[in-house]
Amino acid sequence: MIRFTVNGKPEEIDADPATPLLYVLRDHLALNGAKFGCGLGQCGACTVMVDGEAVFSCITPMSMLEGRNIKTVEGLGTAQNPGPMQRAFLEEQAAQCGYCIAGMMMRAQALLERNPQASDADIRRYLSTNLCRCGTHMRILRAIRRAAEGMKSAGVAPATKKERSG
Amino acid sequence: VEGWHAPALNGASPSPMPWTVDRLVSYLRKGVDDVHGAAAGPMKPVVHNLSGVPEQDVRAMATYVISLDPRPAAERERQADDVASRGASTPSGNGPGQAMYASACAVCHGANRREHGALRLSQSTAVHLPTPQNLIRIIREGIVPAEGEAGPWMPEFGSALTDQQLTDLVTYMRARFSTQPAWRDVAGEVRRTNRAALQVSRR
Repeated sequence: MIRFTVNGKPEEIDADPATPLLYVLRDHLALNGAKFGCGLGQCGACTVMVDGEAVFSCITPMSMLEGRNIKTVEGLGTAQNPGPMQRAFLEEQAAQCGYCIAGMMMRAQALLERNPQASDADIRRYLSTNLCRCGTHMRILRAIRRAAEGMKSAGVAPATKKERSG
Repeated sequence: VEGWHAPALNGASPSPMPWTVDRLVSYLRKGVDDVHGAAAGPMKPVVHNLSGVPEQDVRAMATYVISLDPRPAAERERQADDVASRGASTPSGNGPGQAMYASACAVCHGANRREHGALRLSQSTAVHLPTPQNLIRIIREGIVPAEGEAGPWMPEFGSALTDQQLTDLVTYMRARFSTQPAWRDVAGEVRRTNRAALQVSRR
């Protein structure tokens, strides 16, 4: 039995220790935001946060996750009440097909939580592990800059608390 | 060198598989050799530069480097055969290091490794060095070709692993895949490779 928290909620999962986190999120917990892209950690569609760091959930086995705190795109807000990152992506209409977007948001969230002042160069470098085949990169970059402003005015901490209680 | 261990090239070379001129030429021009490993850290720009140098010049360098190893060719060949025939080592222990290796690393580096062309770890230079520096950095940062260039690749596991997990994994890999004595202060070395700085320099 592996115990960890997902979006602030304690979970107990009975899975083979080699099961990738992505499969547990999608198949056991019905959190379908993170996507299966390549299965090799090469595309970033599966990106979630583990203890505040962006990780490829498709290559992260459950054996590493005892007691860790996972955050997925579902933890950033809801359709009715999107968080600053989600709102920014909506306002910039950054998604085309949308397959990469949950991963993009989670990696950007990890960056901005650590460095709210991230420069354009920081954003480009940090997001370079995440691919978008539709080519909406310029909108994605605008959305992340907008999210940085939104998070500064909202404060990152309150968003985290809201998600824990909800 | 810049937080990486640069292995000896002479008879003290830690590589389990002795180098040959052909392998060294190919490594210096392509950045990877399938029985030694991939160029990482400050060796990457060296390969980048040598990839544009005429092959005969790189061959001359390799011939010189190989000549630094005083062991007779027959002895080197015997060592290569020994290492190659060691085959798949049996899984040992059931600690956290074993569990992480089996679930995260063995997919590519284990028995079915050919599918992804990953290195057999009993032949890995990084696992056989006098310090765990390079192995820690490769697991943490992955192996990433320079922007816009093709090259050997491995994903990074540093964001997912805690320091303790990385320590356990590195200690396990040394015990299982190397014939060398255990590294002494793996936990200290893990602490010393500064996480925040690596985030910035990763790419």
